[in-house]
Amino acid sequence: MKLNTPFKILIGAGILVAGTGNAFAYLDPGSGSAIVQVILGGLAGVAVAFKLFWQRIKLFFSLRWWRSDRRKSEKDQAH
Amino acid sequence: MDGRIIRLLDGEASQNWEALRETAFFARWSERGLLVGTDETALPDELSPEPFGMDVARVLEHEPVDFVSYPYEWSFGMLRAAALLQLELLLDALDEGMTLKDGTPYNVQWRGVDPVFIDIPSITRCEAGRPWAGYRQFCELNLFPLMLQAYRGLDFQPWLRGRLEGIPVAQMRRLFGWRDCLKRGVISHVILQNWVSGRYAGREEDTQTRVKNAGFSQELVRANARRLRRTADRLRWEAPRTAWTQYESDCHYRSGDREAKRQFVEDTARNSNWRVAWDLGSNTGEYSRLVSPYGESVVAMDSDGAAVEALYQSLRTNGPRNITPLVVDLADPSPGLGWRGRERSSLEGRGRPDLVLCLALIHHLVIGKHIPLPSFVGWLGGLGATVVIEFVDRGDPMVERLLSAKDDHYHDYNLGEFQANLEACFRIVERETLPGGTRILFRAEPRHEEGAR
Repeated sequence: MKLNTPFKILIGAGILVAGTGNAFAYLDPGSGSAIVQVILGGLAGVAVAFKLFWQRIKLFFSLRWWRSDRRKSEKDQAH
Repeated sequence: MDGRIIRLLDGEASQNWEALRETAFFARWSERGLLVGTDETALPDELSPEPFGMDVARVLEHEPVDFVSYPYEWSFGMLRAAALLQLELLLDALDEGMTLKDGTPYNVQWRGVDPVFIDIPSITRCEAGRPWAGYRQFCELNLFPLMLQAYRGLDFQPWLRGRLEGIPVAQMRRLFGWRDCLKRGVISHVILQNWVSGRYAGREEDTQTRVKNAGFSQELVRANARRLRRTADRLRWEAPRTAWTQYESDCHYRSGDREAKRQFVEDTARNSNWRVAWDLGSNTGEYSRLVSPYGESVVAMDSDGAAVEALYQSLRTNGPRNITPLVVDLADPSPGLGWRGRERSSLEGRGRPDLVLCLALIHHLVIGKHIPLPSFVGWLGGLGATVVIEFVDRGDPMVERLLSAKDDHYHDYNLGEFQANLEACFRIVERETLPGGTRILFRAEPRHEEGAR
């Protein structure tokens, strides 16, 4: 299936935004709107989104690396 | 005050005004009449800034519009035109280091069928790295109502009248399912915005600063404005053929009635001294067009959104351009809304006409909507204007059709009662029975013109 651009952006954004905290009772009107404008900014927004979520991306990959490393060392110990 | 529109600016607003008046787009837009005429003036003696609790740095005077209207009285095409006007202005402003600080259609008014941006202080200097502050508001007050009508066929006017802030994104999301993803703008402005807003609600971090530090640029605001413009521009609503859009062709005038009626209305418009006319129950706008050359502007009101949209589109294409069509149900006209009911004025609170056309309407209000005949005529009298009113008597097929569906409790609906009520508020200047014999036209002048105004 050929995905349209908003779909691709949505999926891409999903990876970046997933894992944020729970919503609280009050609303901050500006934050969500600012992030949406980054995501909808197309190519110009990609670099901004990358910088904005860099820590989260790093954390995401380092966790994966850490988990796979730990599984590997557990396997080695089992042998 | 006294028909003048005076605006007081504080120090910051004054600096924004100074920056704005130097831009090329301000001159361009003003010249094309797309920005309301604005001049600097002195603080009028009778106006004290004290109640406003501000230090007045500058005073502006705006050119008034003939009749103030609100988005919940506009048709689909009018709201769409107002939305596009704001985006065009934003794009032009961005090119010269300025922006719009909000995104509300209440900043737009109408000169005939031409939209005019009126809120000059909402054009401010741009702060680098800031997303467009008006984005969410633009969606909730412009884009979502338009989507509701274009994609769901729901009239947006009651939604906007019911809530001055528009349709919140979370509620809009509930109206649109995953099946709607293929419709333009739904994924990005409804689903994504709702999801991200929920995710970021209540977070204590300063997202605006984080976004700025990550390199957010005006190019992004521009890209988003262009995307919004594309989305709004492609929204379409085919107004359904309703009883009112077809009224003139379906309304079986008896031989010669129509011609005689047109002549009577045109003669009145030509011989009366008037500036603003209200055409109540205008449907296709035939009589608004007829009188429009003889005055400054006509406000054509009808409760049927499809008829108003058809009239708007036809006026945009063929003119004349001094008629503003509005969706108004006279049995339930716009009330005062917002804080203490004063943020948005009631229909009558926004001005009075000099001439009123009330043609083939009274039977719909009295028989169709159960408005007591004396009450309606009294209300007309309170407008303090010359009135051309058509009484459609009981023998007329249109009245018979209305009565056939209900018990006839309308014993005061007859020519004698009507004329007696009319004479209580007006001086009847001219009376003509149309050739068919069931329709009677009156030209009447208000008895207490000065007192009523």
